[in-house]
Parts: sequence; C-alpha cells; structure tokens
Amino acid sequence: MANRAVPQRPNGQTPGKICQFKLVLLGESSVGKSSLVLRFVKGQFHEYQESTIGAAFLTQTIHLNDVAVKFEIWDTAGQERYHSLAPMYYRGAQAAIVVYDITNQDTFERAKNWVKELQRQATPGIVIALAGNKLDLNTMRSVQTDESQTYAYENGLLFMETSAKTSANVTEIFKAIAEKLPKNETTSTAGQGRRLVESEGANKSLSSCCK
Amino acid sequence: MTEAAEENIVLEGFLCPICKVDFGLDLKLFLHFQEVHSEDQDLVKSFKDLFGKAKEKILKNDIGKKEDRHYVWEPQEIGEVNSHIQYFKHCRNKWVEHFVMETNKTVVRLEKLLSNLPQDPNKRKTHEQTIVQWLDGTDVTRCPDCTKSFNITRRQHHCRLCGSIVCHECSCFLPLSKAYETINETGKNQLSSITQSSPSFRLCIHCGQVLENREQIKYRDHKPLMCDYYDKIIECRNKIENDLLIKFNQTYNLLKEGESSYLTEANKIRSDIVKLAETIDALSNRIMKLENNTNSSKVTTKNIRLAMIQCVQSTVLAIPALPSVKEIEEIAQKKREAAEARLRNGQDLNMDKSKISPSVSKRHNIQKNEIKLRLEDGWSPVTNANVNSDNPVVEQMNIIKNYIKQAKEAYRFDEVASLERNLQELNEEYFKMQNNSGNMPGYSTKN
Repeated sequence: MANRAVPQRPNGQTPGKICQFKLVLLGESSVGKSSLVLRFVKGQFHEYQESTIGAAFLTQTIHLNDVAVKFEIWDTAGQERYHSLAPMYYRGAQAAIVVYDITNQDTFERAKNWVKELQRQATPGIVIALAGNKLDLNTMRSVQTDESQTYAYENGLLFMETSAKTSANVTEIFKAIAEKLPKNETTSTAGQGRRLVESEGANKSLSSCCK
Repeated sequence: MTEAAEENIVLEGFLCPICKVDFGLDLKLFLHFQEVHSEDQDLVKSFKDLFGKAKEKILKNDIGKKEDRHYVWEPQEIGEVNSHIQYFKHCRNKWVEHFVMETNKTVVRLEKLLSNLPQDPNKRKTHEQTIVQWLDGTDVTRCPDCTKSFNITRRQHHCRLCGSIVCHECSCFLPLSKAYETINETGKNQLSSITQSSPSFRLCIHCGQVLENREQIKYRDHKPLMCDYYDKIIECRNKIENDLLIKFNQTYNLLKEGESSYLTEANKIRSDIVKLAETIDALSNRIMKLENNTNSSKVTTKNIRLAMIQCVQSTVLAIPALPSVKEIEEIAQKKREAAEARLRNGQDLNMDKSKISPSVSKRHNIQKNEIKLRLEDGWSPVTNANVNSDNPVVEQMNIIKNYIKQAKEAYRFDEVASLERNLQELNEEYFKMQNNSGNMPGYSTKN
C-alpha cells in the first residue's frame, strides 16, 4: 500500500491520486451505524433498518479536490454477541467512527468505552470521529452537545452531530475524516493501473497532435 | 532446353484451348470441342466466370481508386496572381456610361415631348416629330427587330423617343401618366385631363426597356414600408430584452427578498414591457396587412408576424406575476426571523468556538475553503440472512464468503482483495479459537 502520486489529467476532471482507507464503525446497537453508512454510501435511509449481523462491508469513494479517497467501511454489529469481532475490524483500520444516539445517554457512555478501547488497542494514529446520531430527534435529546464536544476535544476526536434520516452532517463527517487522514501513505493498486492508462493516453495525444 | 523451346513456340491456327491441338478448320475444332471437352465446358464456364468477376473487381477498384484520388487531392498552392479588377472596371464603366447616357438622352427627349404637348392628335404628331426626327420609312422593308417584312397588315410604326421604325409587335406603349411619373412625379396631377384623351406614346422595345430599367433602379434603393415597421419592431424588442427584462428581474428578485419598496417600480417596468409588446404586436400585424405583390414578400410578412407573436408570447407571458404586498410582507417577516435565528446561532457558535480545540476550528476553516466534493456511487453487498451459526466468527466467515461472491460478480476486485484478506484473518481467528478456546476473553464470556 505504498502511495503513488498519479499525474493529474490536463482536464483536471479525474483525480490524480487515489487513497484507500479502512474505516470501522463502532457503537451500541441501534444507534444508527448502518443507517449512517447507508446514507453515506447509497444516499438511502430505511426507517426500519434491520440490525446488522457480524460486520457489513461497504465502499464509497469521495473526491476531495483532486484526491480520491476510497473508504472501505466495516459496519460492525452493535449487539454484544458480536463484540468479539470488532478488534479484527479496528485492527489495521486508519479511521473509526464511534456512534452514539443523542437521545440515549447510555449509548454515549458505551461510545466512550469504544474510544478507550480504540486508543488502547487500535493502530496508533487512527483517526477517531465521534458521531452523535439522530439529530432529527433533537427535541428528545439527552446528551448535550457541549458535553460531547468537550469530551471529543479532550480526547482529540473529530466530533459532529449527525442525522442519517435528514442526512445532516453525514457526508461532512466522512469528509472531515478524509481531510484528517494522511494522504501520502496509502493508495490502491487501482491508482497504478490508472497511471498506466493515462500515460498511454498521453502518448496517443502526443502522436496525434505532433504530426 | 527443349521445354523452354516448347514454351517459346507461338502456336497458331485453330487450336483447342485445352489440348492445344491444331485442327486446321474452325468446324473441326468446334466438333472436337463438343465431343471431347463437353464435360470441360463447365470448367471453361467457371473460368470465364472467374475472369469476369476478376475483371469486374478490377474495374470497380479502378473506379474506387479514382474516387480516392479525387479525395486525396490536396489543395493546390496559389501560384501567380493577376488582378483583372481594373480591366473589369474599365469595361464595366464603359457600359455603365453608355447606358447612363442612353437613359439620360431618352429621358431628356421624353421630357421635351411632354412639355407643351398639344391635345390635338394631329398637332401632337407634328410636335413629336419636331422633337425627335422620324426615320424615313420608304426604304425600310423589314422590321429591324424581328426582320419580318412590312405589308398592309404589318404596318410601320415610329418610336416616339428615338424615331426608329418598328412593327407593332416590337413596340410598346408608355401611358402618359407613367411618362409624367418617370420625369416628374408632381406633374401627373396637373395633366390628368390630358391623360384621358391621349393615352400613351408608342415606343420601340429598346427605349421601353431603358425606361423600365430606370424605374427598377429607382425602386432598388427604395425601402419598402415593411422595413420601417420592422426596424421599429426590432428597436422595441431590443429595449425589452436588453434593458427592461433585466431591470424587471432585478427588481423582482428584490421583491422576493421582501423589499416591498420596489413594488411600484416593478409594476412600472412591467407595464412598459407590456406596452412595447403591444406595439410589436400591432406593427407586425400592420406588416402582415401590407399589400404584397410577390409570393416571397407574402411569406416574409407571414414569418415576421409569426416570429413576433412567438416573441411576445415568450417574453411577455413569461413575466412572472408580481407578489402582492401581503406576500412580500410575509417574506420579509420570515427573513427577519431567519436573521434573528442566525444571530442566535452565531452567538452559540461563538460560544462553541471558545470551547473547541484550535485544530477543530482550523478544520472548519479548511472545510469552508473546500469547493469540490464529489461522492461516487458506493457499493455494498447484500447480507444473506441464512448465515446463522452459534459462533459469530463462523457466521461472519459465511457472510464474507457471500460478499466475495457478490464483489466478483460486480467486478469489484479491490473489494474482493480486501474481503479475502478479511476472510483470511477470520480463518486464523477461528483456528486460534479452536486451539485455545477459553483463552480468548471475547469467546469465553459468550460460550
């Protein structure tokens, strides 16, 4: 996974660089991890989202200026039964989103535990984001923004209150992660392949215009 | 040597094309061919066909090549250039001068003819002859134009402008009214009484043509009424499109923002546009009702009318209705509320900012600077519900296997690689768990 900067195309349309990151979602069950990621990946929202079995896998590429950031997202099940699987997914992950439900104080406490576990056992330098989900239920809020913001600040986490239902801050939180992630460490093989194709294209255009 | 010699021998005579034997007589050869080579005829035929086809192909190719050559020709370089414009002008000027002179002479003579023109036909004839000398007709036996001989039925006639002799068929009549028109447009009313008694002058077709050409040139520079109307229409249209509509949109947007003070102005602009549109409509209608002699001008006027109707419809009818005072007030009210809310949020934000780490606020700044953000269509496999197992690791392995299958089907090989890596990890985990079950805290608590 060595990074390769790909020369930018003259039209500037396609990204010059592809970075691939493993991202894991953690949190108590039914806080909306799957909904959050489904909103991000597919732009969909299901009112009655089934609870996840094991860990679901999703990918989404987000283009930040000329850099394409590809997220390989592992959406872990929140149920206690699957807790044992989580280490496998946050191990080697470059980013994690710890989700809690702003209407449920317990989920926030559970999120804090997840953060602790990540800080202890995950890859050093992992980007952790704290997401207070279900912002659409703001009136039923039981976790105050100030509280979680202070906590996030103290622990060096990204923090946003999100709503998968209204899609508030969903893309933003992934974008914030993408911005914080180092862009010079990872890339996928796809990047190399693209570079080959590009150089061919460049040659072609050269031969066609210089004759 | 012998073979070569044989090959070099040129055979002559009635040779069978197949066995190359000389038969001496054509009939013999024919019979021989019928008898011996009747079966080979098909072969010959097929040869012929082959040659025919080949010939066809070659010919076609030739044609194709010719066409190709035609296309391949590159534009030639321009060689020496000689300008013949001066010569052309010289020649043309000569002719123009000639015609101008002819025309002028003809018109001058016509003028003379018309001045002090007597009403009495006989006096008129002498008057005509004093102005233009009539050719003596005794030696003229044929019309100089159509070369038909004069007789009792085909009588000699004199052109009143040049005095030459022509037959009736080679002459034309210039009505007096038109003659006055040609010389002086104002004169025609004064002499309308004369017009009735002496209807016309007889002219040869050449003089007639000269006068006709002169008339046409006069009309060439004359703009039809339609043009004036059309210019006015275009003026109105430009004013609407380049001035009033822009102004209207600006004020309309201001109104939508809740600025009620612009209502009267917007109304005024709106009525101005409507007035101009009405003018356009009326003018185009007038153009349509103009007298048109030619078919093409009829089509033109019709097209103008249609275009203007469309223009009026598209510009004027598309103007949105102005919001009422009440609506504007509502908008203003909402805006005020929103502004107040923003103010409140802003205060909150300031409060928050004091609490958030500098790095976070910096990130916010970066976010603001980011312009381009694009999401692709993400991909996710469907989780099969029938993966249940007592062991969550086994369950997950089943899920991943299913995912790999789906990723392969979707040609997402990056994903396949990642998933296979994960499957590998799961396998390792599973074996570890099998070997020392109970050591792993995660499993011990659940099993």
